[in-house]
Amino acid sequence: MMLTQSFDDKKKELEAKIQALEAEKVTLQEEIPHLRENLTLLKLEHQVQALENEVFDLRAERSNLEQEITNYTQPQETHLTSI
Amino acid sequence: MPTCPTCRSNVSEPLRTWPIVKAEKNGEIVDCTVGIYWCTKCNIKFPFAVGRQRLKLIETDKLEELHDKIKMVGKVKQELMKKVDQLEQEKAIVEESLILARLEDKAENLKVEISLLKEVKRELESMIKYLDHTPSLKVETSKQKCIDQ
Repeated sequence: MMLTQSFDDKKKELEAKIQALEAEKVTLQEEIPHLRENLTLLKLEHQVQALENEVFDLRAERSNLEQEITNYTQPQETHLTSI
Repeated sequence: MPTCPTCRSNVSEPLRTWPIVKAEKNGEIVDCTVGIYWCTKCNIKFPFAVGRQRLKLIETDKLEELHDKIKMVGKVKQELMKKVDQLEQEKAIVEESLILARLEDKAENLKVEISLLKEVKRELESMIKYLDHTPSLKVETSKQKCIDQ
């Protein structure tokens, strides 16, 4: 009788533990896809940012080159006008 | 129930009875009671044997031996029944421990699964944290502001 009692107690205890663990597992299984989505969004944001930086650099380079072209073409024009 | 050989009606009470013990050819002894019955319808008397038993003669030693064997078999039967009870109790204990072992195993597997899921979660969180705090984003946003201006 004593043995059966302790068996029932232990069984109930283990079943409660399993229930709690299953609940924790379900929570984690729900959280992980959200985290994956967040990570994907962040990666995309970083990618966008990297592309924007490249575009910024290219624009700056273009602007420098244009400036340089202007500098080279400007004195000739002044020379011509001076004549 | 004795029946009249002529009209087949039942006759319950015999006129008189006497026991008969007869030796058969195969060594068996037949013991029975023979009664004389009277059918009131047909007004005839007929014999009818009831309580027929086949018996065998056996030596007293052999009979005692058989009695001893029966006693011994009875004891063995009791011992076997005790053993069966004991084994049934042991079986119940083993079944209980098997149930507990299965539950413990299930809990252990769940713990392993949870620890793996936690590890995945930790990794994802650390990657998110890393991407959230990378300096490039902040520097680049300030650059963007310059462009916009």
